[in-house]
Amino acid sequence: MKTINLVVDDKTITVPEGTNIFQASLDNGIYIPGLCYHPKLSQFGGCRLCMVEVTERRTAHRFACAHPVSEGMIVKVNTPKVVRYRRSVMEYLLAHHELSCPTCDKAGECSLQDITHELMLSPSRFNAVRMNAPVVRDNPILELNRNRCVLCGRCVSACKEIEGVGAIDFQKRGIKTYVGTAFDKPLDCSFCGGCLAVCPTGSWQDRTLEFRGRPWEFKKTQTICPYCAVGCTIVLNTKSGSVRRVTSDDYIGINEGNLCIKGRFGHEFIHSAERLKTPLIKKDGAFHPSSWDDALEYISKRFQQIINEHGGKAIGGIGSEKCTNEDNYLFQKFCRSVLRTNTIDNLSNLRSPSLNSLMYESVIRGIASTSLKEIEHANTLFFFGTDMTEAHPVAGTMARKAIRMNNASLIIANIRTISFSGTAKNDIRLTYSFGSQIPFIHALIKIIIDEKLIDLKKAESSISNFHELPLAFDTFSVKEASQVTGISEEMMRTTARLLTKSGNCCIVCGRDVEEDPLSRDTIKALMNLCVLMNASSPDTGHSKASLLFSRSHNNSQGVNDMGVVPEFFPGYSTTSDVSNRENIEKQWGVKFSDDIFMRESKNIFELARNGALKGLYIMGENPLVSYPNGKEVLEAFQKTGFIVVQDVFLTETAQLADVVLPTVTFAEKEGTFTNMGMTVQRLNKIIQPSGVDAKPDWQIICEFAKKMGYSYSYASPKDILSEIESVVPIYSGINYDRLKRKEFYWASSVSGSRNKSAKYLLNIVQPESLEIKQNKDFPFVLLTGVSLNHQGTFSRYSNALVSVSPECFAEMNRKDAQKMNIHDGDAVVIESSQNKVTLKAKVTGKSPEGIVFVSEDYEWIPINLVRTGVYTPVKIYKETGQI
Amino acid sequence: MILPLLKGLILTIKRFFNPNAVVTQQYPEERPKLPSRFRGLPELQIGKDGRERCIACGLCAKVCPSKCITVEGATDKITQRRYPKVYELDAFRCIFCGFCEEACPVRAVILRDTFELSTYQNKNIFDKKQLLDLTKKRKISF
Amino acid sequence: MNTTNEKSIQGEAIDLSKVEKAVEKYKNVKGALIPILQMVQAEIGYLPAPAIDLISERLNISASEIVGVATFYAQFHLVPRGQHIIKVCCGTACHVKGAKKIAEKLSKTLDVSLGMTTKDKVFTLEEVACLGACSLAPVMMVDENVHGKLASDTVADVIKEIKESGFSQ
Repeated sequence: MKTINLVVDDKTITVPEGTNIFQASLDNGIYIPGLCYHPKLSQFGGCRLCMVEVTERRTAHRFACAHPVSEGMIVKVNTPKVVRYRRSVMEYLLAHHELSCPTCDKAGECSLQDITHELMLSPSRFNAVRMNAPVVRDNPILELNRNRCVLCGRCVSACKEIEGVGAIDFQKRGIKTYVGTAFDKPLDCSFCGGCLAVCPTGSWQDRTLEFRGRPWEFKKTQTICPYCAVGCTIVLNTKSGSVRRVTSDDYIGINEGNLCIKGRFGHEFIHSAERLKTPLIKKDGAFHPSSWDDALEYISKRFQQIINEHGGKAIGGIGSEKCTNEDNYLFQKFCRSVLRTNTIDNLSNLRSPSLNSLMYESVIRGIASTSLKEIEHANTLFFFGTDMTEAHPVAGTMARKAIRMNNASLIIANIRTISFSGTAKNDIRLTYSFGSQIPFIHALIKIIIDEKLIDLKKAESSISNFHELPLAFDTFSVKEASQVTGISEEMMRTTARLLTKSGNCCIVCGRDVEEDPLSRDTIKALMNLCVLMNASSPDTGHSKASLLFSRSHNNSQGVNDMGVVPEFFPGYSTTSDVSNRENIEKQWGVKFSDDIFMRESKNIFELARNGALKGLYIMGENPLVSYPNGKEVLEAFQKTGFIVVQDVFLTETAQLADVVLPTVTFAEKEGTFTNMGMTVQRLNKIIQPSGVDAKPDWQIICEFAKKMGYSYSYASPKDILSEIESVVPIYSGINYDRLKRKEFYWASSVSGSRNKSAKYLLNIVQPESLEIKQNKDFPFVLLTGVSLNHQGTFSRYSNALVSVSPECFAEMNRKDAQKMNIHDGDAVVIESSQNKVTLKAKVTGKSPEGIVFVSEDYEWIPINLVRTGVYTPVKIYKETGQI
Repeated sequence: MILPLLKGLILTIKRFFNPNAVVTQQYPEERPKLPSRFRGLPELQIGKDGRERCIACGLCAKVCPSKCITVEGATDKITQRRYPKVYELDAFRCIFCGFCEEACPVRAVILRDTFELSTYQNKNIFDKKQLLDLTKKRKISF
Repeated sequence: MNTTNEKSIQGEAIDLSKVEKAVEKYKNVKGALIPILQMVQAEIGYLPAPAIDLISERLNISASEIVGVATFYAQFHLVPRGQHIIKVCCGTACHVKGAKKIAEKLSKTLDVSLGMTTKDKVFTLEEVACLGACSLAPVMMVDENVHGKLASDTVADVIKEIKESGFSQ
């Protein structure tokens, strides 16, 4: 890129061509006052404060944010004339301003206040005209005070450009202009708080803060968000040991200061009164508080007894998608070496059992995305079976950035219609019929080969079994696929052409694909597609297409990396391999008995249901409501004699436990999380747990091991991570202290070591599609998904999130609803063969006919108790009584 | 020689019996008369509505050189008014400088003539209620 | 929004098929929001909220943005307007000649405040800056007809005249 030299305030700086003076100065540490310019947003030029003196061919006054730099330009920021101009602009702004700084939460970090101070403005020459507009408090999270607004337009741009919602805009004109919604309706948006983050004055306020602190009193510490798998960096603002609000920093983390509602407003659970305060032991059906020593003594005695009577195999362990890598590493080490069982698992693996091995395979073969940032750099985005807006809102923001900056094409394919705000130039939204994902991918592959959209010769030379491909696709016809999937041939051809367009392509494989019964074959088909697209790309060492596997929770990736699965030791080395086993034995200094690694075909809940498990150790999970078949889990728990649960709250699962151990939240512990882009990021301990006698999970496991007669000499997660560094090959080179400054990308270090000349391999699968068993009694299929506003246990204890979306809806197709005379808001019963639940109906055009969609993340709605598997046949009828 | 002595003695006796010339104050029976600018304990003022005037802006806590003021703001759920949920003043640390009074944008803190601050405990923290009670006794509101 | 008839805030039925037609006409045209709004207003007379919601859904532009555009331009109206638009001139000449009194008289006669529409949806009373007929001051314009040299007692007659003759318009 061409660079340009210019002089700003006697300092020579070099910036890329096309930069404006404001950004150039900002990047080089020269301050120009301004209210409307924001590096993340498009320029607006509304505040008129950034006037500078510019000498190009002649000397003139220009607005820094709207004037591009040119070679040899001389800029003077503070000439007397410029300052005089700025002062009068500020005088006009302040003539309207409310000047309620003492009661404004922005005071102290308010740009308007700072500039007033800096320009040393004394009382204005104008008569102050106050607007006295009423403060808009129509939602529980954001407050809009128009008296403080300077009409800089930042919130309007942020809402439109970053979040893609456009919930607010300028209304009316001239002196009457204000920022608001259509017809002044209550704010109906995703509540990302982007408006709040960019507002230079106190117009937008965080109502969860409620005046509980002033900006200068807060200690700001960055950490990682505990909700979804994007792993945004959030900044916790604490005062006297309690978290008061969450802010973001535009310059740190992968999210660039963008957050979603959960990240920004879902922090109240940290100080919830309902947190577990002491260890609880169940006696005669009721919980009794106990001391840590007694509880651990009791557990170790009971577990020892089980080991003595039935052997370690009779104990099962469930690791956590929400706990840190260190907690999970220690958990599996403890289970394997102390309890001597390999019956350990985590919910991510239980829900999509084929994902781990295929994910690792794609990393090794260099077709997996090595970072979430690849979304931002993509030229084509293909969201397959994922609901970005609901599941990974900030990844959606990255996609919008790609659309804005790279003019990226967007292809979204799903069973339901997905609302993704933001429109690309080439914007394709597809809905394939239920269960037909493999024919769809195969049709794309077929079209690519038939239309020679890639260089077939090159592909032949770089793919070792390319000759198998035409054979496998001989009988496959796109026309038939079009019938099966319900997508027109034309559409599929356009999609294939867009995918193979030059530039990077990022394919996001979503939850709907990963948890499907056909997930193994679908992912393989997707990998084939990637291989084909990469094979013909110029050999620059950078793959053209990359596959990003979405994960649901903050550390769903890490828990699998750490080997809390029966098939793998940490770092995806198979447990069935004797050499891996010996290696781990040497590292840990233990000796595994041979029988514990016998491969079981049943998963942990099935084993428990069959009575094979006598004890269960659950760390930070609530499988009763988060496993697709809640009834099976319930039966499993009832069959298991002794259950220990470690959690922050008394969840449904914890209520069934015999001993409950209180643990700390993300704000109160150290460690690392790995996001779905395989980026390891560090969280910081920010506060001490107050009012609760809780301990971090790793510490509990250490003390537990001590009671069992083993000594774990870890002083902090740092020690555990350095052990992980030496034991887990994919994490080699990670450094706890360095993580504080820079995240660690394990996938890029693994695929970076890959042999570049190695040939790709296709994994041909049959294009089968899933048949829905037509059932007379249960004519509907229950499909579940995620929700933007809720996730896991934490969100239900965050008042702001609950008050924004207090209710879970059953989304059903308009035609189905019409047939049954169901209207929006009617109470409907969803009944399966094993349970039923009453919900309010939401009639939309989103779900296809015959499918009812319910979000899984409202934990207090036991939808998973209704489910019998991934897709559950259900019947729906109108509730006759009142809810 | 004796004359000057007597002269002096007369003055002494005059003073001795004159009640108007006594300078010793009979504290605590007699309250001292304090100068109008005397700076005693910072007191929280009461507004017209009978509530504290304080809006919990935290400027007094910020400006306090001895860091003796703790303010915790909160929102009144009904009126949406900002008020101090906690307002504590550590009288042991207070140096009666009056900066808080100067910083207060709503004249909610005024240093009046409360100076009897001795206590039998080893802490001397005035909470919001105590600081308001001092004003209530005076029956001033504005 | 699939039913063709939606109730507006005012409670009357709005024919959304006209909106559909307008959206359909400019389906693949970029920057077609203002022509669509103009067409809808020409058909319905104003821009009702359901129409805006429908346009927002079809064009994938948020309702706030559309209302933002509609409130920016003086040509768009978000509330129903009367059959006859009365524009009272408040320019300098008319002001001197007592336009204020005319406006007051009108609002009293029609029982409507400035900028509003009468209950029977016949008249909308508006204030304008200058009609360019200063020689006739004080002046008002009813639809396309200019009435000059008014006095506060002749105003009522003009209204009466329109009421009697103009219902067929």
